Amino acid sequence: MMLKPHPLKGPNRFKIGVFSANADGGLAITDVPERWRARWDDVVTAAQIADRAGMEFFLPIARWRGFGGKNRVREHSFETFTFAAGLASATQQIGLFMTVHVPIVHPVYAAKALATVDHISGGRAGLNIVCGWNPDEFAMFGIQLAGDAYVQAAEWVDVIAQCYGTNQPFDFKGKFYDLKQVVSRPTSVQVPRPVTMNAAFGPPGRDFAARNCDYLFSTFSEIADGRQHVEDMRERAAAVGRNVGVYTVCHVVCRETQKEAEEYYTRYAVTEADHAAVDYHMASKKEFANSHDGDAFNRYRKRFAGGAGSYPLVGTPEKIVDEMLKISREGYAGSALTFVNYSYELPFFCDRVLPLMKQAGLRVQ
Amino acid sequence: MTSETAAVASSEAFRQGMRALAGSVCVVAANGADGAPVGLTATAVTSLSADPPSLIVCVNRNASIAAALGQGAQFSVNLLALGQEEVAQAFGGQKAAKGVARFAFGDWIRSAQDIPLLMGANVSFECEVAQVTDWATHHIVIGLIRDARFAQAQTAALVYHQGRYGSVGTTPRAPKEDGDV
Repeated sequence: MMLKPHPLKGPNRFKIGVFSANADGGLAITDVPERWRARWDDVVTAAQIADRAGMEFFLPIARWRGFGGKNRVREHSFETFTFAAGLASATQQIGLFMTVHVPIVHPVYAAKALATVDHISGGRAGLNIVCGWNPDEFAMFGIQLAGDAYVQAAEWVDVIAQCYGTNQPFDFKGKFYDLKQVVSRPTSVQVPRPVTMNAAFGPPGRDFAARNCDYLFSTFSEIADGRQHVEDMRERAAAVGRNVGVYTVCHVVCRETQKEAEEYYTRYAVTEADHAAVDYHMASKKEFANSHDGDAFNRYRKRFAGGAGSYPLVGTPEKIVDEMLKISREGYAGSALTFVNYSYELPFFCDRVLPLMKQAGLRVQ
Repeated sequence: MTSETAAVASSEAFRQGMRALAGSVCVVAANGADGAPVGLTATAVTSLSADPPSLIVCVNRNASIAAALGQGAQFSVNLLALGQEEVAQAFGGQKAAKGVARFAFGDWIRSAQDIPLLMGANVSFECEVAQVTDWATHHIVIGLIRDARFAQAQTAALVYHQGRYGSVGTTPRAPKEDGDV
């Protein structure tokens, strides 16, 4: 097998990936008939388009139940280790993340599953570490939301690091894990471990990311507000002698004309949004989540229906590249992207936006 | 013929003299007995023979990698490219990172033989220890080269001379659209 560095370590200044294609609706909460149903054949098509176009990563969400509404949005979603393993065999070069809930998945299991995907993919695996926010999901597992979730997460990644770092059985005694004679072979293909990311917004989560993650994903309401997250993360990482690349998430409507794009955005995210599900999602996240700032909730119901509160990239290919250039100038190393229907919309995006990104100096390949 | 009592140059003179010996910067990497990857920046790497393909690496007996380079052990010799100074510093002990944490510098991937290889190095040799000879403070390790991997685009070599990093050769101005080579 050809050995290559992980795609996220490649030369492009602004890296892009596909987000949330493993779940019904993607990141949208809409009732338009072409909404994403996350069927496996469509997922493979989308992943192969992104892979051939040289996009850097494919990032799934971890969902165990949906947000209700007319379509029971997100209730259908694929588990992310097995999802990544399947895509590893169907793709050649794209990075494949797994999104894993610390309280739900045991670290020794996670270490083995992650290493397995790293081997199947030839070193393209990545781990998105999430602590979770949805008490309804945790109740399914009989788990209480812990106040010190990131203390547990730190132990969790320590266990994985030790699994990969030694072939000798080891004991681990922490507050959350008391493990005897742990072994986990094979180790990962990437040394010392696959790339890691998380999407923390609050200080404990970002300090966790500073110590344990290579990438942080962060949303912003306006591009001009983006820099503060980059600087905050840079400082926290520098304090522990590390670098953490900061990425964002955007939902995309890219069309030949601005008017066409904006009309479609309004149609799927307002007129034909799945309103009951938007209400549930916004209410539950507002109460429990620390992953968005308060403004995003109050001002951007459309953005919630459009892409779970992420930033909208809506317009012509030129307009979208212009926006990405601005995001890059705020210090972002890339973005995860969502679409209403990935397999319908990715071809146009790849054909029209990627060459313009090259011209703009955002990408070299 | 030299007798044991004959004078030798001071270590200071040795060090000062060797500062003038410009050397290609390499990182030697292997797996420790416990399976953890270990690595060391070295300029004491020498081509030995093309038949069989072999090289020499000299490592201090006290270096953490020394124990990992016993007879039959697998290891890699990675010839660093310009731009990999931080990797050289990390594995040369000039960064705070110790042990496995050094591998956070640079992009490291395990070969099919589980040996850490540095991506972006101009060349990575995968070797097997054929013989170890001791000389005073050092192990002289002869490595049989099992495989050689080359970077897609060769760039200037990172060299060490007079206590500073420099380079020899040229780097293409911008990464080309190399695609799948």
